[in-house]
Amino acid sequence: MSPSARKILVIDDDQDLVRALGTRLRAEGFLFVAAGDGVMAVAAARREQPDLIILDLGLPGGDGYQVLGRLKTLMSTSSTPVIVLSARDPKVHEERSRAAGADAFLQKPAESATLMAEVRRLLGEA
Amino acid sequence: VLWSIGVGVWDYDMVGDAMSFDDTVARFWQVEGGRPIPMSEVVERIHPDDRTRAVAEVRTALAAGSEFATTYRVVRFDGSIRVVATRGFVTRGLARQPVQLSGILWDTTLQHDAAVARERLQQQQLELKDQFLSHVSHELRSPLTVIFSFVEILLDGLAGELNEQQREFLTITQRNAAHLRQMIDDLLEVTRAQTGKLVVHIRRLELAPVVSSTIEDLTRQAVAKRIGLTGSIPPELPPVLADPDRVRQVLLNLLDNALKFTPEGGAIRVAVEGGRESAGEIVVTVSDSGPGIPEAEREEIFRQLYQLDYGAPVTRKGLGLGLFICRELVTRMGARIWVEAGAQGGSEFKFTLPVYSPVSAIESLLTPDNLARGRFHLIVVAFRPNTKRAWAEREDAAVGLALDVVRHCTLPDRDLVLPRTGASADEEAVGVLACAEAADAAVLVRRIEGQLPRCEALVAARLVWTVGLRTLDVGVAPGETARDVAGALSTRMEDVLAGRDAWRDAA
Repeated sequence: MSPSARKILVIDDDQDLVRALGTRLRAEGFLFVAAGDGVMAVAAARREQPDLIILDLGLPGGDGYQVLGRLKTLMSTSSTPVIVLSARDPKVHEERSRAAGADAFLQKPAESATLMAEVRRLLGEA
Repeated sequence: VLWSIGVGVWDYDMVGDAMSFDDTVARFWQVEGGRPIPMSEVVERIHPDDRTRAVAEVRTALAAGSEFATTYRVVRFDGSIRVVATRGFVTRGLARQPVQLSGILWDTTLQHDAAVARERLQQQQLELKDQFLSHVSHELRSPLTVIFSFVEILLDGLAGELNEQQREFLTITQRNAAHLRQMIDDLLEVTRAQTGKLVVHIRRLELAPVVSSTIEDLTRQAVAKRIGLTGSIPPELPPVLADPDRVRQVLLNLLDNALKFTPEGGAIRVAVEGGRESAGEIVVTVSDSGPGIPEAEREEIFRQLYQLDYGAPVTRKGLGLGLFICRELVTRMGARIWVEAGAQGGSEFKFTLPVYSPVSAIESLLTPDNLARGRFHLIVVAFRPNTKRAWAEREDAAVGLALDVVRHCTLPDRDLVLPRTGASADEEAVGVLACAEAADAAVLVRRIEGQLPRCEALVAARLVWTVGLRTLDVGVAPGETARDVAGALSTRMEDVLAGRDAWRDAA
């Protein structure tokens, strides 16, 4: 792992998916941290200072939008790019997510190639 | 006899403005029987919300037709509302001028209430189904995401090298997961179509890149099945009026079917043709060298849940929703889709897309489906881009902005934005009038930059006169975005619809 590796925080309560995303992100050379509920997520974001956040909308302990709102108001995380990765209808939630400060919206199931391309784009590595 | 079954008779002498009627009618209108009354007294008894429409329907019959039928509500002195239906015919004089109207009238309150209740129940059931499917779809997607992710991890060798057979089995798993995802998407689309939530965002679109990128995306699949997939797109294709995502969706669906039914070593061809001024439409053809579709079933296959029996094993059946969705989408873009027998066997699926023009942009909104869904609220938008660009460019900008506004309106099914069209005031007035009449619309006049230009004032006045429309001005400062305008319009329209705001008669 290079010392300059970028750190990505995945906020999702689906442990299996967290495992899959972790495997993928590590294989692509990223540092990986995860949080499973809204309250932990905000704390983890402040503590870990990730370079990018992948956020699910349906979360225990606070809806994804609340988490997004908190992240965007906190000084230390307000400029961290956020990709919303959700099973919800993009026709409703894409615009809503963007309005709430998300940089991208991907509907589950998203292909890894699409997700990774989005990650790299937002990290300025594209 | 008529009296005994509750049907009243009336007779209107146009020359003397005298309405005569029998006791049954007198009871409905709550007027004294015996003496004729002027038309204005009859109109006064009609519910205010139905008045302009009912009057317009009679006027239309007087102007051109010979018969008319209308229903309207009557508010009784005790505050109760009765629904009245009437039918009549026009008697004309020697110069074809209308001289007399005669007809019958009866109470349809019970039928009307039952129909309203039935419709409400149906809508509720559809909404429930929609909610249920949205929920189910969401819950199904999550585990599917995990399956996709791990299959991809394995296929990419992130958990160790794979042998040939492991790779093949995982590819099959992946293909079937994708199929499952497609079926979930289709289920949702169908409910959306039924609840009127299937939305297309049409705009001016260069078709060539959409078609070629879709073909490109399926090339790998075609190669795997040793099928030749080719496309031919003429270099000078005019822009079309369509939703790029939906065009892609339709094309993907047709190509998916073609790939499914074309045997190994076959050929699939996508051809884009047309665009001649006369036709005003582009035709996209997907031809395959599959088994073809029997003539008797060429219309049936576009029905919901229809499955064609090929008498031969097909790797995987679908839900029978793909072509149904294609037709729904294409129809919503103001176009057509159908299938013909291919020249060398196989099938030729064809769909049209209207060539872009400001007029086609408006017409596309006037689909039978849109019209059937209820009264339109018509917004005549006077966008006057403050630039020195060429007329055609300004016009494009105005149409683009108008379509953008409609997209952001919170009542998308009921709103119509008419941008400025036509080079002259007269041309514009004619176009707007035709649309308004077709839509049986109420009109909202939006103005930007101070005074309403003369031609739009003229259009508004003629609309009020001809179709019995009312206008509403929404004053918003220049320099606002389409979203701001749409927000302001939607709020005002919601107020109007909820009766919180009064219409202002522009006549």
